[in-house]
Amino acid sequence: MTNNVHDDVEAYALGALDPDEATVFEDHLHTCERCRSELASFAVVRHALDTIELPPPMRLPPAVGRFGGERKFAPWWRNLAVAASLAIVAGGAFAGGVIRGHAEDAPEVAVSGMVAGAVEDFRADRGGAHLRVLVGPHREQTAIVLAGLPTPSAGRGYQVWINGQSPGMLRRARNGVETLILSGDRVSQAYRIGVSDEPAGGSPKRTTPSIIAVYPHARLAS
Amino acid sequence: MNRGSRGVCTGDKSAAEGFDDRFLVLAVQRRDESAFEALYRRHASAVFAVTVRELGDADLAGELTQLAFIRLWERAATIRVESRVRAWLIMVAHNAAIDVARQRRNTTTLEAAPVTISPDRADDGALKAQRSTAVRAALDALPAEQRQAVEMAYFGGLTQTEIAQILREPLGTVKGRIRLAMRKLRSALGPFQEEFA
Repeated sequence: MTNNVHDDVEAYALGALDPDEATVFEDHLHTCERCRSELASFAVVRHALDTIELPPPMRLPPAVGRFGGERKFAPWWRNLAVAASLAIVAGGAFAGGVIRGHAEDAPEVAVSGMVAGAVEDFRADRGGAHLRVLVGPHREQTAIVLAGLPTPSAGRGYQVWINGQSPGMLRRARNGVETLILSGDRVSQAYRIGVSDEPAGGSPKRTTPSIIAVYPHARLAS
Repeated sequence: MNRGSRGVCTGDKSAAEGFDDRFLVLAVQRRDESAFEALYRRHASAVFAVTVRELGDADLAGELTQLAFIRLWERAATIRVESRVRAWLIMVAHNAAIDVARQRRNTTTLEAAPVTISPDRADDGALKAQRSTAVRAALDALPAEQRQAVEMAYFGGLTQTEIAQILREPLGTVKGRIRLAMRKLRSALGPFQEEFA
């Protein structure tokens, strides 16, 4: 609380006083005509702020909103946290593709060689989807790997977006893992790497909400 | 991670809604999903509101809001229940937003997104458009740190003590910013007093 209770009028008008401070200030208002007058003068600010409309309320998380119905998912937030502790995608799902050795699994072979020596490794898990972004040794390649999503519907595919621009579509292997290999280090300058469901040939702009994303340089701890 | 239970709050969404935040956080520490979902319904809009004002990008803000809640589930055991969970969530989203914004500034592939204020509907007429323009201009005219303090208080429902903690600034500094910002807003919006009444 400030030493001078008169100085709290602006914060009180904004609703920014701690409860005990607000109580003291309200008691003070009974005896201070100047503060009552000041407080009344800030009504215009409150009314003005009230007219600001924010974007629509947050959409339902994809696991709830998009894939509901036939396919049942665990709560989106739990899946995210569960997967984070399992160290899945590359270590688990990839292995199957490599062992089987299908021709269409070739990207996974490349990725499997990057896992051990990866210099960057970011993961996100959301609503049953698991995204992993790896930068290989010497930063010569970046692998974007997605698992846990259903096969895209006819004419659709999963498209990668880095800072709002797309380097291409993910390619689906028989084991259901989707992969995109890019040359160079695509992570160091990325603030966001995400995936969305788009037309199979790719879209010049993202047309559907992001399914999952990693934020390579964002602290997510308090 | 342990699977959550449906039940300390009886597993009933409406029942969980009746508890205060401190109880719900304790329940989340015991992996109670209904308590977590109640906190999400109660605070997601405020976390989103502050973050979208900070980033000017609803998609990014939505995702960072969800990530903040994921951290709540993961780190519930470390949260002091006497603290307000909303402030904790906004702090997590704010820290992430700073880093995302910094990285975004360092790239040249995306233009900075404008702050979003809903457009007036056509049939609301010129007066509403004029008011909206006035509010936007008044906020934009504030120094960034003053605007941020006002928006965290107004959209996030945070106290100036909580804002100071989140921004890692002295409390007196935040109080000063709010005081100055409110006076400037009053001056800027004074001519519209009757329209906003």
